[in-house]
Amino acid sequence: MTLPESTGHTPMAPEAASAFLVQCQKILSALQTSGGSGGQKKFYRVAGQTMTVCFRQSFFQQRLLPALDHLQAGGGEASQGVIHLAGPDELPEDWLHFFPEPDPQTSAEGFHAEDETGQAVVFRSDRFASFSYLSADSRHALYALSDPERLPSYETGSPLRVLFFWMLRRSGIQMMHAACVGTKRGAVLIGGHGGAGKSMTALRCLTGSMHYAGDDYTAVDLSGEFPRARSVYSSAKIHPRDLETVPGLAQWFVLPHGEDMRENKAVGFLAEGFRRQLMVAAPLKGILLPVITGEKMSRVEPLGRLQALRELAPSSLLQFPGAGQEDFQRMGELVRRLSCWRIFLGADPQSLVNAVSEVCESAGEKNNAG
Amino acid sequence: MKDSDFFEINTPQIVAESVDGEVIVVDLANGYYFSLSGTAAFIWSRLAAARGSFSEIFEDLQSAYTGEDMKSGLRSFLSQLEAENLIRSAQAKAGLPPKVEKIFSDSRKPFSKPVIEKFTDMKEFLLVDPIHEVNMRGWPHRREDSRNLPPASAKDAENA
Repeated sequence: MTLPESTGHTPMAPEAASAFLVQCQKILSALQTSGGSGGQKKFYRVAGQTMTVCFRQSFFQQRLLPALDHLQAGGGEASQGVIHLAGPDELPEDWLHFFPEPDPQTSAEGFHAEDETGQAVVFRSDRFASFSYLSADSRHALYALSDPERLPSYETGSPLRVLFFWMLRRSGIQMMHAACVGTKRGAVLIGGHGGAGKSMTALRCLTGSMHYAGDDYTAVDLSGEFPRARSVYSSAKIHPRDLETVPGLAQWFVLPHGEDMRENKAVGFLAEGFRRQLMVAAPLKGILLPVITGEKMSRVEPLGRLQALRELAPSSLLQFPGAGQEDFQRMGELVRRLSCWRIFLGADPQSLVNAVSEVCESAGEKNNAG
Repeated sequence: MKDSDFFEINTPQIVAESVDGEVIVVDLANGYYFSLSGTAAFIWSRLAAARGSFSEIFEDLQSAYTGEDMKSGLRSFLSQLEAENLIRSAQAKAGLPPKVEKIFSDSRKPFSKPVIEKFTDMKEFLLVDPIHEVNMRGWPHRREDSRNLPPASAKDAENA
C-alpha cells in the first residue's frame, strides 16, 4: 500500500470552508440565543484562563468532562472563553451531510479552515464525526458531536484539545504534545512522539509519589522568568496490558468496552484518586526525551537543544490543526530557556523516579550540551 | 534553473526554527521534517530573510564562503528544496532588492556542499493514530499491521 501524501489536517477547499464557517457560526449563535435554558454550566481554570462550558446533554458531563475535573472553578470570575457543547439533538438535520463516513484508506484525521482574517477557525474530525469551532471574537467556541457513540475512548482523555490549543495560543500559551511531572521544586516536560514512553514515564512517576500534570498534553506559559507548565488534563491513557506494570492504577482506569482492544487504550481519570499529587501549575526545570533501554536502571544525560527540538516539536505542531510558525518559535524559545536531557528508561521503577526527580530538583540551568 | 529565477519559502505550509546555527524545517502538510546545518542553514536563513533570485542568493553565499563548485552546489540544493516543496518559485519584487543582513560577513569560510537531512518517522506515527496504537504485547510495541505500515524505526533519516 502506498502511503497517502496527506496526513493530519487537510485544509478545506475555499468554498466549502466558507460555507462550513457560516454554518458553525449559525449553530453557535442559536445556542447563545437560547441561553442555556435547561442546560448546565461548568467553570474551569484552564492554564490560568477561566472557561465556561455550557451543555444540555448529560452525555457530555459523563464522558467528555471528567478529564478536566481537577480544574473546576467557581462561577464568580469573568470567563475568558465560553465553550458550547452540542449533541445531535442540537444540530440541524442538514448538518449531517458534513459528516461523511470515515474513509479507511485516507490518513487525514480531518479538515480545518480559517476565515480571511484567521480569527474564526474550524476543525472537522472525520474519525468520530465532531467539529470544533472558534468564533472570530476568540471568546466563543463550539464543540459538536453528530454521533456520541462514535466518540473513541482516547478522545475522552483529552477532550476539547483543539479548542484549548486555539484559545490558549492567543494568550501566548502553547499546548504541547508532552507529559509533565514534578516535585515541590519544579517540573519537567517529557516529550517525544507516540510510543516514545511519555505515558509510562509519567505514570511511574505518579505511583512513585511525584506530582503529575498530564501524560500526553501540557500547556506551557513562557511569559515569566521561568517557563511554567500548566496542567490541562488529569487523565492518562495506557494500553490495558500495561496497567499490570504500574501497580495501584487499575481501579482508576476505564477499560475499552465492547470495542476492539487493539484500537482503544484504557483511559484513567486521576482527579479523585490522586488529587494531592495533581499539579495545576509549576515552574519548568527541564525537558526530558525518553528512549527505552533493556537496562535495569534509568539515567539522564545532557541532550543538545537542536536534537531536543527535533524530537519535541514536530508531533506538537502536527497534532494541532492550524499550528504554524508562531508555535514553532515558541517551542524554539522553550528549548533555549530550559535544560534538555536524554532519559534512558530502565525497568526499575524507583530508579526512573530518582532520575526524573534529579532534574526537577535542579536549579534549571541550561546544560552545556549545545 | 536560471540566474534570474526567484525563490521563497513555501509558507505557511513550511515552518522553520533555528537553534545553535542549525535549522529544523517542518512540512505541516505531510509530516516530514528536515535538518539543515552549515551552508544549508546559511542558504535557508538567507531565504527566510527575504525572497531572492538565484544570482542574489549566490552573491550572498559568496560573501560568506569561498571555494569551488559553489554555484553548482547552490543550484543543486535549491533544486532539492524545490523538489521537497520547501521553497517555491516567486515573483521578483518591484523596486530595490531587499536588504539582507549577512550572517557570516566577518570572514569567509570554506564552502562545503549543502546537505539536507530528511526525517519521515513522524509521518508514520501520524498515519497510525492521532494518539498512537500499540500491538498486543502492549507498550512500547507498536502494531506492525497498522494500515500496513512497516515496523517503526526510531529514526528514518536519509540524505535527500
